[in-house]
Amino acid sequence: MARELGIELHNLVAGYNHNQVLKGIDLKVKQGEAVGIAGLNGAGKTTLFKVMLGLIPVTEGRVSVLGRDLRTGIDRAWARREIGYVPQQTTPGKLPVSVHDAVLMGKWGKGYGFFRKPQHSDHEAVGATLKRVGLADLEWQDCRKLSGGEQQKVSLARALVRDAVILLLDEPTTYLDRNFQIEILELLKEIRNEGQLTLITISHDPAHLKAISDRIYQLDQGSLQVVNDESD
Amino acid sequence: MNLIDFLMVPLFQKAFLGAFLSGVGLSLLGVVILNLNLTTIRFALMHIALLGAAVGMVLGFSPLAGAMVGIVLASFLLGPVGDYLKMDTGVSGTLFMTGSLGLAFILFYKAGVPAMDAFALFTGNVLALQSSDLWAIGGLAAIIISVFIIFYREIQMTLYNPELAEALGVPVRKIRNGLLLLTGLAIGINIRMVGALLIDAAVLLPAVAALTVSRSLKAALFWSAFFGIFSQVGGLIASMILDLPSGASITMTAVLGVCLAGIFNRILKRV
Repeated sequence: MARELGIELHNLVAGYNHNQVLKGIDLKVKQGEAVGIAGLNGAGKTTLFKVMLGLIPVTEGRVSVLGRDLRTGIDRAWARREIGYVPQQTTPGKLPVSVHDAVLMGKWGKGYGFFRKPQHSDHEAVGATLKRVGLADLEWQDCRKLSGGEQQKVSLARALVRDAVILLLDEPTTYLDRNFQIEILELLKEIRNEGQLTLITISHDPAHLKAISDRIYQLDQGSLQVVNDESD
Repeated sequence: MNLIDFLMVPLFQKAFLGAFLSGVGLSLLGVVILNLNLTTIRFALMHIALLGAAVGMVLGFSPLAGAMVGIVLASFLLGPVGDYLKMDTGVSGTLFMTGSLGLAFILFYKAGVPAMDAFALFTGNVLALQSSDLWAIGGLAAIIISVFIIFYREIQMTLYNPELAEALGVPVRKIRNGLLLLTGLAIGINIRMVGALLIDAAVLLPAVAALTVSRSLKAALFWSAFFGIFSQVGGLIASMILDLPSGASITMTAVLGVCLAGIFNRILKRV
């Protein structure tokens, strides 16, 4: 049975002010597929994710998520509920936040939101996801005290707990030591093999992309080209 | 006069009530200022208060009323102007700070206003609080506490990682601008109590102490209110017993609170 489209970008032009970072991007990712996007720093990889999340306006072309064109604010808000996002790792801020609370954030807009407190089921889902990523023992630890690898696992758990259909991963293994890189890659392989989620991963490391992707694209000077297609 | 005698005087009763309400409600915003990197904003608001005072004196009404109007207007404008000019809040705060100071000095010069009268704003007086001030402090404290209770999760996400919060669908700009407005109002009201120069003691230092000992936002807000009451009420008591100026006494008590929190944190780490 032919799988339905997860994300489609058609002749997409987007960027900041008058600087068009993405120039005519075409991309089709079916549901359950795993796609990798490689590119140098400044090639527009993160901008591409921001367009998919509806955080940057599209100058030309079309973005659709699960077959729905993102034209209005309502469409974009709907798309964000279907997407789990693992942002590029940043240094933790000054705010004390427990691992549990940091992961629970992933349920915002899905399980709870404005004027609706997190339900018992939301807290249970957080516990189960932390167990899955191997952080159950650190559930009530302050995020500021975690190592880089543990923080990346928190980020991944937050995206997974969202029960999203699409997972966007921005440099998930960068800045991690070798052991954590292996652990995160194993987790992503497991998710990929389950075939439930559509994975789109950005990385400047082709070896890591190859380990978790069916197809790899190169983003160069605002345009996208296939460099490796294992599904052929 | 001992402390009990002081408490029998309506003037001091008002001062204690004002200090308590300010400590419990307004110090919560220190957590916001520290985490949203708004430290330049409070400098900007102090200078805007000076400009407001200058305008007030030129137009013939009280410098304090002018300062309050200036702060309220600036609190509404700081966020949206920064968004419109695509500037970081810190950068737009610097713009407001320098611009308002320059304009204040032009006004002092051109209108022949005695600048020192405006600078009187920089030293507050908790004993000069009126009933209307207490209503304002209490009302704002109630609003701040309600906002933190109702939008706790959204504020937590905005302070934790604004980029991530936006990707999750949280209206980060609206929340940030709302908090900015409350911060401005809190600073405006506290100026009357401790003065513009010592405003950090009322708004920031309790949050610094709280963040040192807390492991969650909920705990940080609780401890912030605790250290807020400790510095405001404790400072006021110390000023009466030791015959010190109230603003300076509140500040030094807040500094003591930060030191105690630091020591407590070190002991906790060793255990």
